[in-house]
Amino acid sequence: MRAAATRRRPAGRLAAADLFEFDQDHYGGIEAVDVLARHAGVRRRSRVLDVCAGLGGPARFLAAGRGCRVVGVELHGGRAAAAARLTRDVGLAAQVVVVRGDALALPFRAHAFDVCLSQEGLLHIADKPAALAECRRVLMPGGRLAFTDWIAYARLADGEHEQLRRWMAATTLQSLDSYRALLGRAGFGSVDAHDITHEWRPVLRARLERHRAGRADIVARFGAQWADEYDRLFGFFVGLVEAGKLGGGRFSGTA
Amino acid sequence: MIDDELKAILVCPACKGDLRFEEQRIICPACRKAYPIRDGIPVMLINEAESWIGP
Repeated sequence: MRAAATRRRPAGRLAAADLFEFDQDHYGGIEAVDVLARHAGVRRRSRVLDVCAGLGGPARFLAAGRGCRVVGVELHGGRAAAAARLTRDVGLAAQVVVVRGDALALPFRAHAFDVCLSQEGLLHIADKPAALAECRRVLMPGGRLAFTDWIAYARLADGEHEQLRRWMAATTLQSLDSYRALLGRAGFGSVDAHDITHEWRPVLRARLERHRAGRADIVARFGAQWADEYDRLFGFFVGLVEAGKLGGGRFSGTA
Repeated sequence: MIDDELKAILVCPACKGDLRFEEQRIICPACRKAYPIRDGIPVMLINEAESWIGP
C-alpha cells in the first residue's frame, strides 16, 4: 500500500489499476483473474460473488474492467476493512461491496448471483462439500462457479499435509479428480478441471525469490524472526510444488 | 450505508430468512439475532451476532 501511495496521481486520486500490482494476493495477478472470469462467463450485467475476497483486488479488477457488480465476502475483519477502504479510495464503492461472512453460511438469498468466483480460498475450508453447496445455492440455475485452489498429488506425505495444516491453515486438500467428484456431488454440471501447476510454479518461485531479495527491508519492517518464519513456511510450500507433491487446479461448473 | 441492491439479497446466514435493516445493525427477527455493521461493513457472522430481544 505504501508503494501504491507513492504512485498517486497529481490530482491525489488513486485508480483501481494503480493497485493491481499490489492487491492480487492469489497466484498469477490480474491475468489469472481474467482467465477465471472468462471460464465463468463474466459479463457487464453479471452479478458476481467473490468468495474469500481478501483485499478485494480481483473484485475491483472485474468491476473496473468489465463493468459488473461484485460482492466480496471475506471472513477476516482486517482484510474486509482494507478491501472496503481500498475500494472507496479508487472510487468503486458503487460497484464493489464487501460483506464479512463465512463461506459455509453465506448471508445471501438463493439465486442471487450469476457467477461465483474464488481464488486460493477453499484450501482453508475443511468442509468443502458444504462450501460448494453454498455456492450452488446462491447461484442462478445456469450460473457458473469458477475457482482456483491448491491440489494435492498422491506423493504428498501425511506429515507434509499436516505441516501445511499447522503452518498455512491448509486443510482437506483435494486432488484434481476428487475436486471434480465433489463438484458433481454438489450438483454442478459441465464440470471443467485443469491442472495449472505449470502456471503457478514460476509465479511461486518468483515470489519466494522476491521475498529473499527484499530480506533487509522486510527485517527492518517486521523483524528477523518474522522474515525467517515466512521464509521457512513459504519455502516449504514452494518446495512441495517444485517436487510435484502440491500444485494448483482451475475448476468450473454450472449450477 | 448499505445500498439497496445489497439489502435486496442479504439474508440471515443461519436461517436464510429476511432481515430488518437499522442504522448500526441488521436484525434477524426469526433467530432474534443482531448482526453489527462496522465501518459500513455488515458483519454477517453467526458467532459475532448479539442476541436481540425485539418488540
